[in-house]
Amino acid sequence: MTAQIVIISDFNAESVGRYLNADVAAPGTEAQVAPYGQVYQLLTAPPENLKDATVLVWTRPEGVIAEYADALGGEEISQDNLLVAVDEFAAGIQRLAGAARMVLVASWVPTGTGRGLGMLEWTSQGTAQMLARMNLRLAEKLAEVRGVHMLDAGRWLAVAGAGARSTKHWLMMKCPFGEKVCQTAAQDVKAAIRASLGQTRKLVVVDLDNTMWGGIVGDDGWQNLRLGGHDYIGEAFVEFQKSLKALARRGIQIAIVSKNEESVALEAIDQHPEMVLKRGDICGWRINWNDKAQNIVELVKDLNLGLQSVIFLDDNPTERGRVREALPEVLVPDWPENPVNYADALRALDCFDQTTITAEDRARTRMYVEDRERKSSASTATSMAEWLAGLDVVIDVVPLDAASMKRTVQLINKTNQMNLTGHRTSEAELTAWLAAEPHRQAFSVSVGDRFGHLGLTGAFTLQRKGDALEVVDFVLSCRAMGRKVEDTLAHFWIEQARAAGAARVIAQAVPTAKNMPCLAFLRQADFTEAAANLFERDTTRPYGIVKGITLNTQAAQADDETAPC
Amino acid sequence: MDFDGALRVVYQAIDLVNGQRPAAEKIPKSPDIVLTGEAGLLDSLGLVTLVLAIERTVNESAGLELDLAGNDAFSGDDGEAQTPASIARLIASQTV
Repeated sequence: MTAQIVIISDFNAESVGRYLNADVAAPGTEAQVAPYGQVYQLLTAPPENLKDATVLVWTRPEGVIAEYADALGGEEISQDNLLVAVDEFAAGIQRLAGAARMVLVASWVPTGTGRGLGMLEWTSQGTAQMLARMNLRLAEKLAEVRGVHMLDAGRWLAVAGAGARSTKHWLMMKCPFGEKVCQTAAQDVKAAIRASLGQTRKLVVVDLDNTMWGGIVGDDGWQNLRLGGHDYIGEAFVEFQKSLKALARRGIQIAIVSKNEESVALEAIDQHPEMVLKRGDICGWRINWNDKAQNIVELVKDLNLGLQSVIFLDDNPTERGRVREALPEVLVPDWPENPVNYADALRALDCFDQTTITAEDRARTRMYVEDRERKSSASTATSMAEWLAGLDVVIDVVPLDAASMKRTVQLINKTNQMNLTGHRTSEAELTAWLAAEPHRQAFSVSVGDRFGHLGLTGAFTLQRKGDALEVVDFVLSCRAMGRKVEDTLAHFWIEQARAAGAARVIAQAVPTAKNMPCLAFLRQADFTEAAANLFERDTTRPYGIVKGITLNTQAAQADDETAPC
Repeated sequence: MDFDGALRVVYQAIDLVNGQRPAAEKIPKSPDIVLTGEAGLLDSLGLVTLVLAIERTVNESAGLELDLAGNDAFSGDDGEAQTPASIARLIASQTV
């Protein structure tokens, strides 16, 4: 798959396009740079060929906001007019968003290093304060626009360091920024595209000895590990753990794979007073003397994730090499030799970018820990049916609304296994698809049980097709699989079809490299495979619901205020 | 700066330019590869990128104000600085 990128700028951004086109990391990109200096023309009347493209809009503040340029030139300007100009620019971005797959807008940064008004720069007359207000206003306006994300250009300059800005670059190339800035911008664009395609890494698998803490716990004892204390190396490991915990808080899971005695390692985690990560922050572990690659495979299977979701961190280059070779889908970054650099190395990784962070993301670690307890309970139940019956599963199926739109699109874009078609979408695309025909509906699915609430874990879309009700897209998070949720949804589809007078429910699956579980479900469920991957079920017979499961439904009503969006 | 040091600086700049080029179009680091002029591997943006990268490295490391950009040596087929080796000689001559 090749991602199309169009760069709109008031300066010569050709270098950004070249870095994008030269980058071999997936997804492949085909970047074009629009003729520079035509920003307002393109924002006023966006070209029609942008439908599948990601557009990067990167401008100099003085190039697009005349009031700011006047202020740089020493003129006294109206603050109100300054913000009106920002609003007009934001309106142009909104028009562009309607024409493109995704729009990325670089925040405005000063293009020079002049002192301006010196000690008055952060007064209302200073351009530093003006620029901050402009960026804030732009961010507030664009937060309301679907499919638009602002990128932090300030970080690009910080990463580039001394060569970030160059007057000679501007005079010779009509680009005010150095090559490193353009390269970092290209990397962020690529990361944003990966995030929009659901290619975010969701699980960090970390080694323990000399990675999570300094020293060998089996040899040194947990009391003698270098972790915190009056020791800068110990502090570096604490800092690294804090950065891992920050990831966990936004929905990226932390797991451990370590060659150790499990009881010894867990005692260190539980007992060491300066451990930042506690057992409740860790979704799973394999602590034994087995091959780490094999341990990762087992752990990932246990967590119902795919290897493409995993990043592996280990101080030992041999272990990194082994995992890299055995599991090419796992991301294994080179790792600094000095622990002082561990936290920065983790924070610089661009594989965790997300288009949104939802409440479910933030609660995901708790959900995994609950799942661990749930599985422990399953091992004591005498049969699957008995376990399910005692689980008190509650499934809520409700029409998609504005509140659930972001999470639903996120789920569609990152679910691989229980995914009928592998189709990816954006909020704008889904909204447009639903609006195109009055009989189309979208539903979100939330699941809970006696151990806790899994949150919004499923979604599907329906449309009328002749005498049938067609399930067009269907995804269910791997976290909710194995609880007969999918069968309960089949029951719901049949009931919906019967209520609408449809004779059949049909579902056209599209096999992908990873959606075998979905095809397996349809083949073993009470559906008939009428043609290759075309599943159907007549509605004359009800579809049974599993004992112990409660299904709460709220039917879609096309014309009232709660209609699906 | 001696010739060998200057050649290393040119190669560093080629690394930077190569970061913008697809795998099949990477410029080999060879002293006699033709970079500029009609048969050269660099287009105008690539040439400016290379020259500015060389200037920045030399100026930061040696505390100089080397200005190669306006040098006639880089102008078209007539310029004398068409290869890494000839650019390195130019740098060495200007940083004595």
